[in-house]
Parts: sequence; C-alpha cells; structure tokens
Amino acid sequence: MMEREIFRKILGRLRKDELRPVLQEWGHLGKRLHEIDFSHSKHSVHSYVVKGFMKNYPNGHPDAVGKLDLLCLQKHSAKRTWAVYHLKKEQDSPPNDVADPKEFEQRLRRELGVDFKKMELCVLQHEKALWVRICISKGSKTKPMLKNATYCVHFPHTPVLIVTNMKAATAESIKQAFVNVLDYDDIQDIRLTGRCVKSLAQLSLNKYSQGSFSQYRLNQVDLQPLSHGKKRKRTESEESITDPRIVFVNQKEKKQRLEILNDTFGPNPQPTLEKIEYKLETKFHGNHYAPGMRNHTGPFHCRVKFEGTSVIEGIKNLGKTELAVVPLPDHLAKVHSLAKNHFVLQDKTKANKSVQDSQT
Amino acid sequence: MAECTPLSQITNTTSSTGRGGRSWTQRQHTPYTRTPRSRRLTGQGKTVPLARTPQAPRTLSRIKELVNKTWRLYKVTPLYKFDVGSLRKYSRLLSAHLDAEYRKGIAVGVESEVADSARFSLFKGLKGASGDSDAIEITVKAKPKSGQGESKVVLSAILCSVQLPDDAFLFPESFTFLPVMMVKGGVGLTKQIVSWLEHQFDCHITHMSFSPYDLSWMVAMWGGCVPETNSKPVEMMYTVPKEVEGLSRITMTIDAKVCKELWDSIRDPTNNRFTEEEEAAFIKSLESHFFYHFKVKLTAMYLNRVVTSIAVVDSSGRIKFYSDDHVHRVLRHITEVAVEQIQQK
Repeated sequence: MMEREIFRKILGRLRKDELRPVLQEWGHLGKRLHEIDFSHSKHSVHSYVVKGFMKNYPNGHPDAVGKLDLLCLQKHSAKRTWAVYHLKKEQDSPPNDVADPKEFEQRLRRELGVDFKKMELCVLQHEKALWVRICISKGSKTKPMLKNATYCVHFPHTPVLIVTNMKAATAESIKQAFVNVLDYDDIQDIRLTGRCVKSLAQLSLNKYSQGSFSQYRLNQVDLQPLSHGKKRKRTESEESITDPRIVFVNQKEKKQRLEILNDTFGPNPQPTLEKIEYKLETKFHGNHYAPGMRNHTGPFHCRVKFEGTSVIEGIKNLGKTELAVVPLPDHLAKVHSLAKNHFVLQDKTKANKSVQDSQT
Repeated sequence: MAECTPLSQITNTTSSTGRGGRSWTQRQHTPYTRTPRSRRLTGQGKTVPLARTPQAPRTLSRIKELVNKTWRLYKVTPLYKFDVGSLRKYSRLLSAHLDAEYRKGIAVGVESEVADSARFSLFKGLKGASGDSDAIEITVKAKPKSGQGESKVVLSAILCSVQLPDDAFLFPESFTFLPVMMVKGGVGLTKQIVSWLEHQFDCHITHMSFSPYDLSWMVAMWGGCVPETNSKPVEMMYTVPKEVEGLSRITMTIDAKVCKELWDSIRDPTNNRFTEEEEAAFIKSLESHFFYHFKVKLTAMYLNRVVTSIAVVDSSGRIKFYSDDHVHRVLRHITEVAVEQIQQK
C-alpha cells in the first residue's frame, strides 16, 4: 500500500535515537508505542510502527503523514535550503496576526481551499514559531506526492516567513494565501537563503542588533561599570606559547586588528550562512597590471561567491589570519546586519543613486 | 619529430631559459625545474599539421566523443616494446588478465557487471604532429550479471600524445611515448588496467595533478577563447586555507565577453607564444580587481578548479572538454605539462 511506503520513507530519515521522542509527539500510535522494542534493527522497528498505526487506524488517517513529515523536518531542517520572505504592509496599522496554530490552520485551509481542491495541510508549533506543511496534489493524482510538499516557518507577530521547496506552479497561490491570512498587503523575497532556520530567523528578526550590538541583546554588557573584578577575567592573553625565547614583534598590530574585528563582528558567535553571493557591475580595477583596460568603459561583469559552513565566521577569521586587510569593506563585514546574502555592487553614479535611494 | 621546428620562436623567448636545445639529461641533474617563461599557444607554425593530411569526416567525429565527458588524467612514462601492429594480441592479454582478476575475487564483482572483453584500437584524429605516436584507445565492455542485455562499455581509456615539445625525451626506437592517458570508468577497473599496462610495458603510470600555478596558466591561456556558440563564463575556484574556519571556498566568475576583452588587451597578437608576463598580468589584474572590492588576498588561496569556455580542469586531474574545435589545443598543453611532470621525477 502506498501509505506504508510513504511512512517508511519518512521514518527512514530519522536517526535511531530520534525515533521514540518523535513518535511520542506524533501521538498516533497511542499505547502501542510502548510495545515496540527500539533495540531491534531500524527496518524492523519501522515495520512495527507501520503495523501499529494500521491497527489503530485501519482506514488510515488524513493528517498522520503530514504531521510525521513535519516532525521529521523539524529535527532535520538543515537538510533543505530555506528562503526568507518579508511581509509588507502599506499603512501603519498592526496586522490581524495569529499565534494559535489551530486558528492559523483553519484560516490557511480556507484560503488555500479556494485554489486547490486536494491538499494536505499541517500546522505545528515548535520553539516559538509556527511550522506549516502544505502538500498540494495536481488534479489527476489522488494522493499528494511527498516530494511536492512545501514547508514554511512563520514567527507570530513578525513579518517574516521562511520557506523551502516551493514549486513554481503553486508559489504564487501559497504566497498570496499567507498574505491574506496574516492580513498584510504584499510579500517580498529579501534574497536571504541558507540551511539553518535559526540563523535565518536571527538575521532577519534581529537585523538591527547584530555585530557588537548583540552584546546588548544578550545582556552581556557590564551593568556595574565600577566593579573591576569581571574585567580582569576578560583580559586574558590569548597566546598559549609561553616559551620566553619567542618574541612577538607585531603584538600591537595584532591587537589593533583583533579590536577592529571585534567591533565589527561582536564577541558572540555569528549566525551561520552557507553562501554569500556578490554580483559586481563596477568598472575594472585591475588596471595596474592590465594597462590596456584603462580605456575600457562599461561595467566589468563578474560574480563572486563565498561558500563554507559559516561564512560570516569565516570572513572574521580571514581578518584574524591576515588573509584580508582590516578594516573590511562594509558589504563584507556588515553582512550580519544586512539580512540578505545576494548582493549587487555597482559604481556610485547618478544613474544608480536613484536606485539606491529607492531601496533604502 | 623536428620537421617544422620554429627555431626563431624558440630563440625569441627571453634569454636564460631557452627551452630548445637542452637535452633531458641536463634537467635531471638540477634539483629544481625551471618553470617555463612561455608556452605554445597555437600549433607549431601557422599551419596545423593535420591540415596537410586529408581526413575522412569519420575521424573528426571521434573527437566529438571526447567532449562533454569527465575524464581523469594520468601521466605515462614511455612504453617499452609497444607495437602498434599487435593490438589484437594486447586485447586478448588484457581480457585474460581482467578475467583472471575477477576469478581471483578481486574488485569488479562489486558492480552488477562482469568485465567481459577489452579491446585496443587506434584512436584517429588526436595526433598533433607526424612525430607523435598514434593514439590508442582501450575499451572494456561488460555484460550485465543477469546474462541478458547487451554488453556496454564500462571503461574507456585513451593514451595519446599531441605535439610533443621538441626537447622531450630522446629515446631509442623501442620506446613509444604517449604521455597522456585519459580514463573514464570505475576506479577498481582503472587500477587493474593500470597495473597490467605497467607490468606489460615496463612503464609507470600515475595520477596527474595540477598545482595552482598550472591552473592559473590554463585559465590565462584559454580565458580568451570564446567560441561562437555555447560560451561559458570563466570561473576560478579557490580553496581557503584550513586555518580559516568557516569559509571553505571562494569562486570568482567572469563574464565571457568581458574576459575576452581583458585577454585581448594583455596579449601581444604578433607573438605565437603566451608569455609568463601575460599570464601574470591576467591573473594579477583579476586578483587586484577582487582585492579592490573585498580587501581579501586571493593570491594567498589555492586555485583549485578552473572553468573556461573550452574546458574545465581541476587540481585532482579531472578534465572535461566543452568544445570539439579546441580539444587539440587543450590536449597539447596537457601533453606538455605531462612531459614536464615526468621529467621532474
């Protein structure tokens, strides 16, 4: 039966130690959960789960698959790339927001039901956010396909929506549905993508308190400036080499560099971004080595991509290890406060000035 | 081999490292190798030697088979007593060897196919000059284990030499020099074929890897080759040193047209050879453009992969051709680099 295979597929995504808590939260096994021996092989445990579910619900349950899928995704959200959208409102009136998952689900179902007859919808609350799974089936097929599911994360009372796996065909309808449900006027792609939902949320929600301002947000600033005890702890030398024969000649420059880097990036761990892309449309600046290009008018089109496990942290380390000259340019150093990772760099001309003004 | 040696071109290069006239023995005694001050960009002389020999259209199509496939590059020392006439004998011997290896229980049984037959054949169309040896192709076919279905090609290897440089090995008649081997196929099977070739022809076959310097030469030389159709942007991918945690690679992609303008502005069109100064100018100008915008020193990173409109090369020796018109140019350079690397050992 198709459902068995779908269940197995979803369960296969979980690690062994994650099975029990997820199934408990799922709740559709009820008492049968205690009958399952989790020390057996993964394959047999999955068989037990499927059997238990079939016994509980011989005719199946419409929301079971969706809920399980969403719970698995919450554990493994780093496997997908997410994109951040910003909801906009024309007037200053506060939107009629929802925080309750049940009400949210009802509203969404009403909105999406207008466009789509067959769909699966599941809304769960997880760590102060509403996680939504929308699975829409094309007309002819009876059951929605697992790989077509779109997942969204919405933080209540904020204009932020983080989405993954949105198919081109249904994208517009889903976006419009969210706009209507949350009582906004428009939705915009702010060109921020990544794999870690938490980091993306941090970048978009705490846009104005990143870098060195994160100290204030996280309550790390010394509230009693007259007490000197704490300060002594902080000024520990980072040099672990204690051989007296080694003399570090550039201590002063190193200190200055670290100070500048700490000012720009802040002492706290940076939000993780996997990729930062720049599109350069400026004039060519390598004329010192290529004098023939001095007469070249027009932009020198090129693209630059920084990739890694945590690129912002990496850029800070580039400055630390002197592979980059400090102070770094703003579009590289202030990425944590810009809430996007696809940039376009252009020369400052009169033509571009109007574009810049409209964007701010 | 030296029928159209452009002596004038060799003496044209800057004084101290005239590459012509030095026998290979001289090189062996120095602890370091000189990096070349200039390289051949186009063929020897204006006329491509192949144009003299009338070609059947069939030979041209074989080059098309090389395009759009990822090949692994190996460098091969001269083969001893390799006879072009006994290709059938070699096919039989290799098939027997593969069969014996399979029966021993080594390797290939992992896949669902059984390596069935190996065939040596001449690969026409890859000779650069008449001094080059003919290119040889080894194809290994396999039948699926279930017994049904036809046998399909599991591995394809091509040994070739395209316009060997003039001061390459001067060796006796019994040796055949095909320094470049391109392989497309499974790792286990490749290993078996390599060990058989080494055993049979007393040669030494190793992976070819490219240093960042080699890759920067390639991108500088081919960055300006933009074919009419299907031009790709020029891309350079750098890996970041391990001390920098969090960042693993930086990629710079340059639009093809703009790159060609830069290339034309650096190039001296009268000179057939691409000089070191031009290569340095190309790379340094792009890196300084990058530095102006990001204040990051790309010179300190390792160039790992290079994409141009005619080929993609990465430092582990994988190559993919995009344009069949330029396969010769790329292979000629690869031959040169292979010979240099062999001479270094």
